[in-house]
Amino acid sequence: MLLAIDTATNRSSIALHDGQTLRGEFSWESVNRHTVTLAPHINNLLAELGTSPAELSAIAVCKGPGSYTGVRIGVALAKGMALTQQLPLIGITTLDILVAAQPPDPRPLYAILAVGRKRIGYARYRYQDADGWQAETKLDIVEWAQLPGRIREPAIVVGEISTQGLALLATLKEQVQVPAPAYHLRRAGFLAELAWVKLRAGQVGAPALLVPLYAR
Amino acid sequence: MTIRILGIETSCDETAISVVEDGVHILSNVIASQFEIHAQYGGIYPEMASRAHIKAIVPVAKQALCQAHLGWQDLTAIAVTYGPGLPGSLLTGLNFAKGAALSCDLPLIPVNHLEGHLYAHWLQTGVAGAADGRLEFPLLALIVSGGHTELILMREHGNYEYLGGTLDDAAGEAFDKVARMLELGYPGGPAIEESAQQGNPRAFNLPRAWLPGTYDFSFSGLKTAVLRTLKRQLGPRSPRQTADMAASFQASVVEVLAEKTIQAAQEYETSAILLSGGVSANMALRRAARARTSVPVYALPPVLCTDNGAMIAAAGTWRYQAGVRADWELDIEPGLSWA
Repeated sequence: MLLAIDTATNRSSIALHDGQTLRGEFSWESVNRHTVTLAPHINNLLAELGTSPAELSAIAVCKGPGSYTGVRIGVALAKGMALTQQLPLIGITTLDILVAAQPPDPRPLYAILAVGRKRIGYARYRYQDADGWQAETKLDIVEWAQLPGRIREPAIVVGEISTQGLALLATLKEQVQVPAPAYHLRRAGFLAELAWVKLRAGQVGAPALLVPLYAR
Repeated sequence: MTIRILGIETSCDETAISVVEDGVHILSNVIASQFEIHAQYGGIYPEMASRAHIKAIVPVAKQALCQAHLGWQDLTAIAVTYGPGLPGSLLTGLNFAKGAALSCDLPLIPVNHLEGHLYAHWLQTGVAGAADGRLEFPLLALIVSGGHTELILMREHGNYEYLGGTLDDAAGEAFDKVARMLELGYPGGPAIEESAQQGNPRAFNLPRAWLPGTYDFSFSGLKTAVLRTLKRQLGPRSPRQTADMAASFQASVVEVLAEKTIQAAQEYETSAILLSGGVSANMALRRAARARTSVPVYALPPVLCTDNGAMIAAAGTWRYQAGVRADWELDIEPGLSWA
C-alpha cells in the first residue's frame, strides 16, 4: 500500500493506492493551514480504509515546485513517516501530477500552478502516444498578464487558474480551451500512480535524499 | 517504567534531535548547525534556515537514535518545539514529528522552546556550576540568546511568571550586530568574548539602560552608542581599540543582565538562579552574576546553552508525565509566549 501526499499549493490531496486499486483519495482546499489539516486527514483516511501506517510499503510526496511552505510541510511529514517505517520515499513534481490526469489531445497543454505573490509557474506539455504528456519547456515563473502573449497556437490551459487568469484567457477566445473544474485539481491518486511506476522501475530514494524543488 | 523521549528542536538555525531518559539522562544529543550558511549573511536568513532543516532532519534523527542505541519502537513519546521561532523552521520539525509519531503510534508532546531552555537545568551534565536537577522552587531564570532576553519566575513545574524582557533587540542580537561593526565575525557572542579578553572594559564609556522599576531590558541605545563612537574614530582601528570596544560593550550588557537578574532573585526570594540560552555561555556574564549574590547561579555546558533537542526532550518528559498530549491538528505558534 502506498500513501501519496500533495500539499504543494493551496490545493491539497492525499491518497492510498495498493498498486492495482486507488483505495481512497481526499482532496481539499487549505489556505495556509496544511500543518493543521494534513496529519488529521491522513489519520482519518487510514482509519476509514481500515489500515495503519504499519501496512504501508511506500510513501510518495509532491516535491514541488509550489509554495515553499506548502511543499516543506508535505515533505517533512512524509520524511517522518518513511524514516520511521523504513519505507522508500518517492518525490514527484507538481505539474507532472496535474498533467497525468489530462485526457490525450493533439494540442499543447499549458499546466499552471500558483507560486504565491500573485505569480504562476507554467510549463508546456505535448502528448506522445507512448509516454503520455511530456514537458516541452522548463517551468517558467510569470505574472498572469504575461501568459496570453506566450500562447501562439490552439492550446489547452489547465491547473490553478484564478478569476483574473480566466478573464485573461478569455481574450484568446477559441484559441484556448479551459477544461471543466475537476480537471484543474491535482489529485494524489495520480501522484500515487506515477510513484508506483517509479517504484516498480526501482527508481526510489531514501528519505534523507529527497530535497524540495524550489521554483526560484 | 523508563520514559524515553525523542526531542525535536528546529525553531531557529539548529536542526537538533536528542533522546533523553526519564527527563534527566542524555542518551544522545545531535545538532546540525547552520552556522556556515548564515555566517555569510551575518545573521539568520529564514528561508535558508528552512531549506537546511528539511535536508538535515532525517540524518540528524537517525544519528540521534543510533547514538542512543535505540529504535523508534523503544521510544515512549516524541516531543517537539511548536513555538516560539521562525515559522518555516518550526513547521519542518513539527510536521516531521507528526509523521514519525503518526507512523509509530507514539504520543506527540508539544513543547514551548523557552520552557525547554529552563528544563535543560534538570539534565545530568556532571559539569561544575550546573544544577543537574538539584533544584528547589521558586527559581529565577534568565533566558538570554539571539532571539530572547527574559526573566522568568518559575514557582513549580509548568508554572511560569514573565517578569520582564527586552523591549527591542535580544542581547545575543546586540552581540551579533556589534561584532559585525567590529568585523569580528559571526556568531558575535563568542567573537566578542574572545576579543574582550584582550581589552579594557572601561576604555569607552558606554550607556547602561537600567529601566528602573521594571525587569525589562533595552540594548538598541547601546548598539547605537557603539556605532557613534566607532564613527568618531579617525583612521583605521587598531586591534587594541577593537578589543577595548568589545570589552566595554560586553561589560555594559553583562552588568545590566547580572544586576537585574540578582534584583529579581532577591525580590522573589528564589532558591537559585538559572542562566539559559546561547549568551549564558558567556563567562563574563556568569562571573558577574556569581560575584553579586550568595544564591547559587547555575549555568550549563555550552552545547546545552544554545538550542538543542535534549532540553526539548527534558521539558517534554515533564509534560508527558503531566498528561499533556498534542492533537494531530497541532499548529506552530511562532509568537508563543508564557501561558
